[in-house]
Amino acid sequence: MSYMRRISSLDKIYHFKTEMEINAYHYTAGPIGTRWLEALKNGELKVAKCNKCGTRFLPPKLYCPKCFSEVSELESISGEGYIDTYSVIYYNDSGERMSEPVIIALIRFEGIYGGIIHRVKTDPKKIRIGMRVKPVFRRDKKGSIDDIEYFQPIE
Amino acid sequence: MSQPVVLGIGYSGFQPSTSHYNIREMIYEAAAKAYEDAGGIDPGSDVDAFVSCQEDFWEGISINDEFVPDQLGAVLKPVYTISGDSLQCVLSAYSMIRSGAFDIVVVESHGKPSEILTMRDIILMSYDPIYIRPLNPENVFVFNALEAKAFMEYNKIDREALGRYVISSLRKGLRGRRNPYASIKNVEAYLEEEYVVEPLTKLDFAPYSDAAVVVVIASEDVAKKFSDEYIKISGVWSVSGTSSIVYDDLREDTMTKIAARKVFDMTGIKDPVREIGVFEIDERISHVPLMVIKALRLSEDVNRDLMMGRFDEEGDLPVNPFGGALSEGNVLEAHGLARLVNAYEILKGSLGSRRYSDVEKILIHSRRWPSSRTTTLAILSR
Ligand SMILES: [Zn+2]
Repeated sequence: MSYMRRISSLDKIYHFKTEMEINAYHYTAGPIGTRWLEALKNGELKVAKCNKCGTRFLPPKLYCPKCFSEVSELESISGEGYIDTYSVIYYNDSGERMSEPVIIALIRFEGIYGGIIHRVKTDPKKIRIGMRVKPVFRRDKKGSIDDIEYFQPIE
Repeated sequence: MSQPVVLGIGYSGFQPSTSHYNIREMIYEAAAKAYEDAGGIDPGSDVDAFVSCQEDFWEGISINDEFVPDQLGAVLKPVYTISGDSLQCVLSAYSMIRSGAFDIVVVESHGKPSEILTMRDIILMSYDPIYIRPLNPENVFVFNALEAKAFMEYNKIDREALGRYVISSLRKGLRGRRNPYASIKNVEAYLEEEYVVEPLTKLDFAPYSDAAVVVVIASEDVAKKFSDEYIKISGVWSVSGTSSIVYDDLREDTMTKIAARKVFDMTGIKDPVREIGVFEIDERISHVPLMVIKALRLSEDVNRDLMMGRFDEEGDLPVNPFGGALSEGNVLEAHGLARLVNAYEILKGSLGSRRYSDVEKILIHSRRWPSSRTTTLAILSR
């Protein structure tokens, strides 16, 4: 536009840098999520189960992802799953090379709808889709998805 | 029922940074150009309503809908804000025109990523706070990479084919109008790039651009009073998938598949390969257009067709023939309108050669960035 020509030098435009403190919330896990996280705290991996259609799924929700019924039941599983897809992080968000690459995978479990996204500890050259893995829990657990430190291949 | 048409377009920016104008000044520039392109409409007396697609976190302002009216000339008019990609706004405007209650609706969208200093934090905040976010991955695009990996492995798309897509698209961008990142590179250079998040390199991600786009949508009957150079919106449809990628298949783009069925039905398209002349597809992350090509059933073997150049400018299925987001940059929620602007210009004959002069229909696609399952498709036609 024509009045743009009046701007001869960019440093004449003022810019204001502001920082907003917005990253502080209480996130509610809800009744079924809380029980699921309590199970993790006990070193147990559970799945939600819909009593109407029988779908067993992860992560848990109060509503069935298949039939929309209310869900209240949790069921234990062995925790042994398989890698459905994965990625290896070689550079972080700031473009710096990672000293050690980190593997993140979507882990699925036989007969369970959904899955868990988590770290996998193994050689990035050896990882492959379909690889069988199991969770390794931290010693000091807090009732968080991070109570699982990582998944590791089943020998 | 009223036929919705694109009566005019205007834009500002499509530059890596636009430090001379604030975003509202960019919208004002885009709006003034769009109203002029639409035959000189007056927003005060001619426009019935305004729809804006934006996201508060990109703005750095909460409840940003309050800031929509002024720079569009929309004060004291109905204004709707959608937190989503701008093609979702086109669906709203289309529906409003079809209802007969509105004659002219203005759609606006913008993105000014150059002002965002905490992009990582905003993106991480878009993930589930209980089941995903605590992982706090060192690179937030790892979630996109999970999808890329699953899709490429299952559909046997190799790195060279993905590289061909990227390199071809960057070159096509040289012939476009809004493409600061268009460049000539070869596949060897792509293959030498290291993975950032396997299987994606930095060349697989569109860099950021600032832009504002305004589009005037009208019923055909009313449009005729202002101009006879308008483009029809024959159909538009949007599908939202699950919020959690773990519930998704990741091997195929179910959202596009369903949206395509609906939009082809709306427009009477039986054979998209023959009937659609150009495809304007979201390529902000390079594997996404390949998922869309597959979901639209344009190709049985995407890897082979990439190597054969079917999606290049001289191919029979030109995808983003004047460059897509890899060349123009990622303009956040304005991306869908960027695709629409290209389609509008191609159909009007103002962009490109005679190669595209007989194109009757163009499909446009946008998926909300960075990893939303909300996908919108539209068909524009002469
Ligand atoms: Zn159920």
